[in-house]
Amino acid sequence: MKRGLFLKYVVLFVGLVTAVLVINVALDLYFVYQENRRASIEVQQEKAEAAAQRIESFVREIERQIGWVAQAQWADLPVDQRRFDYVRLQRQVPAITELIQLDRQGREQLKVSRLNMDVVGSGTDLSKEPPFVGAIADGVWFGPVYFRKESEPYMTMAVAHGRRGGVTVADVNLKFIWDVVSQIKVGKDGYAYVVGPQGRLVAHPDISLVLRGTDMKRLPQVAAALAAPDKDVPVGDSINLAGVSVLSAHADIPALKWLVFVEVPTREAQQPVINTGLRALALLVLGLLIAAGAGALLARRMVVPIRAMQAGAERIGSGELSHRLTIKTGDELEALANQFNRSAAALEESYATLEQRVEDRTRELQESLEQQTATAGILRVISQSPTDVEPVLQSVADAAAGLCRADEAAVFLFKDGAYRWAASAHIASTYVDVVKGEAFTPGNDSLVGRTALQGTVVQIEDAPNDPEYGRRDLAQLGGAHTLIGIPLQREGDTIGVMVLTRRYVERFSDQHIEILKVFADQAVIAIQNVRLFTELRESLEQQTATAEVLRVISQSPTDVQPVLRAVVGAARRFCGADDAMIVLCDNDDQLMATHEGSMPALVGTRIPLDRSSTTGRAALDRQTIHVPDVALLDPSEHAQTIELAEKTKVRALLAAPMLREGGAIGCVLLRKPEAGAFTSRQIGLLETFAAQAVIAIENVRLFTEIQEKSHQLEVASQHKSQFLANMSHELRTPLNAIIGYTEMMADGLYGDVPEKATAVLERVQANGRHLLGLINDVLDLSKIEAGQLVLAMEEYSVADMVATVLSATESLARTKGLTLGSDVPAGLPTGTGDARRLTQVLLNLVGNAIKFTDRGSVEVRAAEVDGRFELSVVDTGFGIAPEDQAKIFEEFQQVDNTSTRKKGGTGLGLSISRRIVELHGGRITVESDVGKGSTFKVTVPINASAIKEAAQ
Amino acid sequence: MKRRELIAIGGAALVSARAHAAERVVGWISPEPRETIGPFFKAFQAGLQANTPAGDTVRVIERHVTGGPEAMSQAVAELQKEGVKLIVAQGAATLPVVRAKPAVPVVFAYSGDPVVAGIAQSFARPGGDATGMSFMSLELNPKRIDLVRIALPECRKVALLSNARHAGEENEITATQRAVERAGIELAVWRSQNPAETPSVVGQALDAGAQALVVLPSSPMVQQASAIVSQCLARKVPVVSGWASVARAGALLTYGPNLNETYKRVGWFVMRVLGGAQPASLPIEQPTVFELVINKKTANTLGLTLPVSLLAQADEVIE
Repeated sequence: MKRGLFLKYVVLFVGLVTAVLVINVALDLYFVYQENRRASIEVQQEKAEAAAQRIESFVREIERQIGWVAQAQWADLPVDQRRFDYVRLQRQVPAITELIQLDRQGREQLKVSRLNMDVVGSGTDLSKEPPFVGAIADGVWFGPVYFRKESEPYMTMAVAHGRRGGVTVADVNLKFIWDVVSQIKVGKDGYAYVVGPQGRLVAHPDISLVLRGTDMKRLPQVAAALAAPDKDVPVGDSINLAGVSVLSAHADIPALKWLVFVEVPTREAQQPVINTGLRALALLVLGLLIAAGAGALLARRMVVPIRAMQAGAERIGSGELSHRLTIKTGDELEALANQFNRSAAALEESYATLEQRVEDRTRELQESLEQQTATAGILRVISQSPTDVEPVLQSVADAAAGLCRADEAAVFLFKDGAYRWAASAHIASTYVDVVKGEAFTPGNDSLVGRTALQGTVVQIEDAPNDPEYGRRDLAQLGGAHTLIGIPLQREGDTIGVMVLTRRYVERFSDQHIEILKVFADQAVIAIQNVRLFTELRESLEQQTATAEVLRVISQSPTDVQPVLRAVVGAARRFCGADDAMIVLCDNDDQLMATHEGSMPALVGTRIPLDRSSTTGRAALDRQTIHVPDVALLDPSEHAQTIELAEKTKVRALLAAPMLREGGAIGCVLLRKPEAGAFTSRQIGLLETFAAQAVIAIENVRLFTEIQEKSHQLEVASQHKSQFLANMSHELRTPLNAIIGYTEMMADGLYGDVPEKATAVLERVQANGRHLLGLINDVLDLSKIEAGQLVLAMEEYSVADMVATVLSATESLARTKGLTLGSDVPAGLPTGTGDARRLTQVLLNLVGNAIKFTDRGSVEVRAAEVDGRFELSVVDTGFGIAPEDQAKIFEEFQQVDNTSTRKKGGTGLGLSISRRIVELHGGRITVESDVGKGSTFKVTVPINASAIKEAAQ
Repeated sequence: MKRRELIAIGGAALVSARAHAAERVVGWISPEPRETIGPFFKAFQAGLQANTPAGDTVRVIERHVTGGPEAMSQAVAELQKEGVKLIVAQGAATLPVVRAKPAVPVVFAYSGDPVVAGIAQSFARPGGDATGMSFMSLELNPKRIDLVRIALPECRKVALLSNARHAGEENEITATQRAVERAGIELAVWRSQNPAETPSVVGQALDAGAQALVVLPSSPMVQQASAIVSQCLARKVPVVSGWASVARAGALLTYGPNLNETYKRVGWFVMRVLGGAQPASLPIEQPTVFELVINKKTANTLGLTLPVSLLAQADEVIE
């Protein structure tokens, strides 16, 4: 609150009053201004009229004075008299400088001047002059203003002497109007002035302006009035010669054609408005002061009780709940204060009960905290001893005894068919020794037995005096009275019991029982943890062992000995025996193959394979034989075992057979110097090792077999190729002779051949050639397969190669009516490779294309792509089905045997081509659509280096 | 103690500042001795007083210089050293003062025509650093002769005595001659080159048979008026002139502007120029009120009976 509310009130009040006053003043000023302006304009206009009247009356007075002299009969008076009258007139009217009397005919009769000699009866004819004409016509005539020596304003006026008389013409010095003009008062600083019809100043309070011939037309108000003399030019704001803003009004004197202006400084004209403004300002300031005072007073009346309330509320808020506010304003504030008081009272009351509750809650929290701490301590112990249950049980017993106000606590765990002591707290060691010897079984006799039997919490209120309690001896020994047993349960089984005793009689409360249950659960969790941890560790060790054996197997595919050593080692480490060996079956004997251990063993010795030995029995029965104690064996059945055991001081045995396809190839044997059973886990593990040993032995056997087989195959293949090569050569030589001689016969070298024989000769020739081609191909292939084909590297030109192929196949294509073309761009680089072989490939592809195309064209295209030549043979033939496209590059394969048979061919061409291209480090591919044609594409490096092994 | 001093110093500063602001000094240069020009100087001071704003004072330093143009220039220089803001040149002092080209404006009371004298471009806009009143002393000559004719109906020979150094005089003399010739009057012009020469020139004019002597009003002539009047009256020849003072000195009549009014107006000019008006654009004014002064004593001495109509015209009759 502070000063805030107070200020707000005052500001609001002052602001309101200010706004009202400002609006009022503004409106007032506006109307006063308008009113004043209107009034000023009216006044100005009136003053202008009045000034015009005064100016005019000045002239009219002169006219009247002249008129007094200028009577009709006056002209008949003697000249001296007339002259005297004129002199008198001049004396009466100082402004008249000169008087001239004209007779009826307009002739000058008399001239009286202040400056010149008087002239009598000059008779000068002035009848045509404007003064005479004007005065005769209108009785009086006013001439325009003229300026003597360009400076002093003068005017000529003429007055007629009645109807029949002459005319008096007078020159009037208008400087005399100054007396009139300067006496016209217009406000304080206002003034009047007279302007002639040409805009030249005639009269002004400052005579200098008149004498200087000031042109008033440059003032806008004068120019406007002159421009529209008939119109009533409105009064308005303007400026005067000094550049001061004035309110100007004017009136005209029609007879003289003069304009009389009246001007007053705008500032003066607006003085009332300014005064009003100042008054309004004073009023505003006064209003503000009053408003501020009133606002402060009101705000004070408002703020004082609120402050009192604030102070009271602060005291209540700071905890002084008994404080009460006393505000007697009789309005809402008092009601508010009372409300505060009621709230404080209610608060005081509820505060009292709250304290009690807080106390209770604090105690509860304290207990809860202790429990939490104890639980957390147990959990910490659990986490710190994952492998040992002992410390956990110790701390559970400790905590249970402490929290439940028990004198002693003990935990019993089920082990070997009974509940035995596991941990205890606060129990005398002598008593512990007694309890340690006890083995409780489920039953109503003991507390542990009763708890185990019922599987629930059992409480005995006063053990020494309970007739049903069977072990009063124990209770008396420990001095215990109230007993409680809590079962430790896992999946419904009671795996232990926790017992707490008090040396006085007091039942354990429900709350204590709840806590004990939680502790029991924690103990179970700890036991569980330890079990799981142990199992996990063992499982991990087995995995590691198995993995180790497998690793050894994978590392020695050809030698069985390391594997057997690894198996023996693993069995020793993980199967609970210090001595392990492997015995292999060899026909009717058993052979000690591998041994590791401290006990004597004769590696390499043989014993007969029969059921009298443990290993023999295991191998023959194809099952694991477990002998926990040799001494317990039947001597009639186990003669050899007993004999050997005596020799080597063996007491327990375990033999796992190594089984393969229904038969055993040997055994893995574990021996121990003392009697004792192997666990099922150890047995299972040994069986696994045995199986791994079998795999290893099998592996080695298979590997050896495969190696031998493949060597044999290789030799056979080489023989075949060599044979084929030899055979082809041997076949070709006689065939060449056949073809040669047939040709000579057909050419008639050996005399005429009958026509029938000619046809036969041709067929012999054709078949011979075909056979030769076949043999050549087989020879090539066999050379390649035998690794005998060597590329003859040389430089070649693709363009030349294509040209050679085209010229060789051109006649064939022409015979079939096919178009044979090529697209080889100029500037292809020179390649390196076996030109003859590559030409053979291209020739084969083009030949095939022509062969398998009945209509259309065959085209050879060459291009250079990424350092390789790309040679394509494109035809419009039958095409090759997708499933056949891979096969055609294999030996002796043709697409669709029926159709290709007609076309001939060995089915070796593409296979040879592929090998040749691959020898160059390239590849050959085909793209084809059935019915549309095929494109064979050969890609070879421009600079090929022979890859000899490619063919193999 | 100190405080009082401070107040005293502050007060003094205030007073001196006000005095400095209020008092302005102007110079007055007249070619006539103080005795003769006294009444006009008084009129001038009255005009000055009438136009001085309340609280202001204007101090006038008088210089009566009877010497030539050099003396005038010297007076001008002296006055400027005295710190005058303006110089008033009276009568014959006008031309030398204006021609001395003082650094301050000049307001003159000049009997001649300032445009003809070359110290103003026109009456409406003088154009230079001088302005003031022109007395129309010469223009009224025909009217004066007209008045002589009325007073002495038989008079046919009139002598005109002029100060040969008066600007614009020749024009006026020519105009006067043209005017009087039509009225059948013979006009003889007599020029006096300097005051010492005047009595002999007057003597010559009288010897030539002049029936009346018109003295052109100018400062030197006014100073010698008494002597001229006595010289003429001894021969029964009336003297006519322009300034009332000459009538008082025994001339039959004078007709001219009311010099008192004119000098008052000079005071107005001074204040106007001191108030900031530029002489170049402050029009030269001419008198509007003329006065006829008749010396009846002189008429009686001469044995004249003046017509009533003339007397009726008179603004002042000296009995």
